[in-house]
Amino acid sequence: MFDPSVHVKYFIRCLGLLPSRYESEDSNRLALTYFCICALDLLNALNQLPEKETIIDWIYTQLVEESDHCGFRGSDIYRDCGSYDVANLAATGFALQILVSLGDDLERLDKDKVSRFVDLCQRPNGSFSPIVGFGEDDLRYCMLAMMIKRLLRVDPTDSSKLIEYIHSTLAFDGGLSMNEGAESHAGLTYCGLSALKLAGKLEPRDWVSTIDFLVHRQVQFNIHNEPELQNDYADPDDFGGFNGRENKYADTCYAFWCVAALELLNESKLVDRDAMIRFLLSQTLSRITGGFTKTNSPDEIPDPFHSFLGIAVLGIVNQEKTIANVDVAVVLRKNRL
Amino acid sequence: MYDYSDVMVDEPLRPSPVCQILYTDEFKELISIAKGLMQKDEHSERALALTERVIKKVAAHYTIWSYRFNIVQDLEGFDLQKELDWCAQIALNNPKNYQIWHYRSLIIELILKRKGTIPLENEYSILKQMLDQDSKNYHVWSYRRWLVEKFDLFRTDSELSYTEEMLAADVRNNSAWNHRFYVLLGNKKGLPDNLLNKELEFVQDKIRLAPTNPSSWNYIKGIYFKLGMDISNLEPLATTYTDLKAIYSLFAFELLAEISVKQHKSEKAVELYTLLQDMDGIRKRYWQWKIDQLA
Repeated sequence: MFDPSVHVKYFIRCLGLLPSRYESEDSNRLALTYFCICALDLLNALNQLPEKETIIDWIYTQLVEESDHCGFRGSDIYRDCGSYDVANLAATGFALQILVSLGDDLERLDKDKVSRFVDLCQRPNGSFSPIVGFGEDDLRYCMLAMMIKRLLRVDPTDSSKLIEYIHSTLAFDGGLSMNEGAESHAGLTYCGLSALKLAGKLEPRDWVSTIDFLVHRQVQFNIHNEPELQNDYADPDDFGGFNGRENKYADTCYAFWCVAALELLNESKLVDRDAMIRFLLSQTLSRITGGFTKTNSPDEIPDPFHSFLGIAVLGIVNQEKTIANVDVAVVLRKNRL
Repeated sequence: MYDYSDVMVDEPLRPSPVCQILYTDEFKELISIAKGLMQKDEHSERALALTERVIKKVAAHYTIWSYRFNIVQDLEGFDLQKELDWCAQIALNNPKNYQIWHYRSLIIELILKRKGTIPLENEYSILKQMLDQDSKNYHVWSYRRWLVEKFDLFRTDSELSYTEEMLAADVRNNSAWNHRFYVLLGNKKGLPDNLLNKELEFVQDKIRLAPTNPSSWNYIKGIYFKLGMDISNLEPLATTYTDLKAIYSLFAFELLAEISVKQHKSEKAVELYTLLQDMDGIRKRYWQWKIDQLA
């Protein structure tokens, strides 16, 4: 059912040439690279990657040095943009994840300056923005900020405001959201919990309603809720998969966000793993080309993001012995740090 | 069209050893111009036009937005209301471009800072057009939430009736439920009795319409939780939907179990959770966990 070699080939292919429709993703190139390299690491296939040193050197060329701080740019698209060539929190997180996966010791970095960059991105309300002084704050950047500090092995500075912010995004149904009053969302829930975990402030017994929210993301249709199939967003084939919000379709990435979030709370055993695996392997896995699609819609093709998270969640539940286990707080192969 | 030949930079996109995108010449030219203009931080009509082309191509370009923002602030005689119209056009034609909503909020803040006015009907109009396209667009609803906060639209007829309209069209629209919750309770700790009773009736009507819909059950529990009310009061509602020979809902069983736990009726709670293990098999381990928690 699951042939790792097909997926290894898929990620190697994505690390090679990407068609021009990926132009719109250019600014996320470090993200794409991280998805592929970490997936290969989980598939025990990093040895098939030629020229690791060349990749490491290239990553360092994306470093943006300022007088008092430094971090990585998203891609070459920002180079030579003068004052608009700035470090980005997401790019910095992905760069560090790639470097650590490839076994780099990060000694070329001035860790204090990177840490200073993270601090400069923090807002008065405790949240983090993607670049210094501009952009929308949300839980994704909170997770990235704490993850960067962990990879640098520096202490998460005073996290009391951050913790306050994360709690403010808790919605009435137990999920976390974009900001106070917004709709609960499984991906953002993962990010908030992971940020807390990395800050050393995650106490599972405080998050029971969040466990309820996450466990209810697993989709089930049977005779006891049959009328729900009237929902425009219902698909009986989603059985076993996870959605990100109430009354939405199942999507490969939410299997990861939900199970990883539950794993942070030591409760990933509460979901039906077999049903989830059946959904992933029968509905979103691309047997011929390798990788995973987002949903089971026939017009989709696999992309590196959903492919990586599909592999990673199978690694968490340790279904396929050919996939390594995952450190769910930093989303790297376990023991990479 | 503008002439950019004086600013284009050489080799705008260097080859990389991984994830090399096969750039079209058109894309290379676009980035070459963008880099030249950004390097000079040129604030001009032609630069403004160029940012639009980049935004349409690479919405996630994280400094093109601040560049555009700096240009519109600086251009002499530039009408910021026109920038709001521009945002609407971009949003409608590129529904996946979510950065536009944060940018729109920055423009609104700027107009207010300059003592201008914001006609809310324009905001309602673009929001309606967007949500007609995709009634669960997360970023559009987030923007609407921001608007409620910014202009203190809590408990206004416009917001309440809009969510009613959306829920009449689709009672399972969780985004609409969530927005309604925020409009009613986002800035207050309490709800006057008349409003509370009306709201409880509203949601119970919706439960009657679709008893198996999770959103409405979450909503009513959310109100009880937020207002610190005793969920035991929901027992009659829950028992209405726990008749296995007639109409029933898994969420009613779940609520009844929670009420039993609250009332220290462990035996009854175990009975209900055991039933849920059978009926909601995918969460078998979870319901067992709930039983284990009782001990």
